[in-house]
Amino acid sequence: MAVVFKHNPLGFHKQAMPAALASMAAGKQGKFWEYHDKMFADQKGINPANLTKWATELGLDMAAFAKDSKDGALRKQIENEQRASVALGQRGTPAFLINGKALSGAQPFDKFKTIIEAELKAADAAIAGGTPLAQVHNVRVRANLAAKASVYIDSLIGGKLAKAAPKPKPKPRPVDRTVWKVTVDDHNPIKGNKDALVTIVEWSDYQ
Amino acid sequence: MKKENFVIGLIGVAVVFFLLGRFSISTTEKRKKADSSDEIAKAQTDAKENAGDGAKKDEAEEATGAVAGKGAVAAGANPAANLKAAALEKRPTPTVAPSPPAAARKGAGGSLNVVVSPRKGPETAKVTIIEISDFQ
Repeated sequence: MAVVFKHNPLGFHKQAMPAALASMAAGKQGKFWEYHDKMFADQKGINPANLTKWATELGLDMAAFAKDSKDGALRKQIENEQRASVALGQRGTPAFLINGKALSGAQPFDKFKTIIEAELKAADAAIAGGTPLAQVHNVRVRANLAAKASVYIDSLIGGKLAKAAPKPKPKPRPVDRTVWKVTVDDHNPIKGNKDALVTIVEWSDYQ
Repeated sequence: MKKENFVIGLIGVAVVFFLLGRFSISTTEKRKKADSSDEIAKAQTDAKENAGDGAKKDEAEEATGAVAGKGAVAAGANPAANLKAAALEKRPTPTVAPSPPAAARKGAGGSLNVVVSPRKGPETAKVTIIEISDFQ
């Protein structure tokens, strides 16, 4: 078994990109997983001050960390991983590709177990059929992702630039031309004259 | 009166013959020029195509020279064609810019990975989970 981490800092998570860059900067000093654990231990505490504090706690070279945290090449790598993830249909986080088989969101252990066991079986069958161990991952990815396998292999494994996925066109909504008569009864809360020339009817909830 | 008409008619016929003769000469010259230019252009194209290949390059140069000479012969007494052929002989053989080295080509479309993605477990694992996430 192996686990590989790829970034998808969502745009509406304002600290996600700085955090991704900081983790990669820590990774350049061999401390990615330690830094990763610190951030997941205090997700709400992710901010510029804590990103520096955690790096200090891990004993990182702070000058190199500060420089790498602003590295355009690292940012490009992160953005490419993000594009590849979208191209593979994984827009949210977390998302998992188990030998290419997708599992989206925070899922219970049993779901992982089922897929992992099925993949182990398939991998053993491939090896028994003559596939070299080094090729098993590619073979299973091609089997699980079919047409999208090249995006996975080129972008997530090979590090080549992933093409941006085309944005789905919103379907035009049919226009409802029904004319509704809104009655204002005595039991409706009302402010103002019942015979006012202009009446505003407000629909609302309280949250 | 009749004599005058006869003279005018004679002059008219002479003018027509003169014009026809001029037209015929210029057409022949144009055709010769065109033939010569086509052959020169063909030789240049062949030379360009063969320039990258060392063995074929010599043949191309020979072809250029031969056809340039042929152009001069075909043009005969045409000084413009002779000048063109002479200019072609002086012109260096066209060369194709050498293709960039393999390493440079690889760099252009090469790997984006500055840092190898963080991994736990062997490269040859039977099952690899790729976790795509942010930290927030």
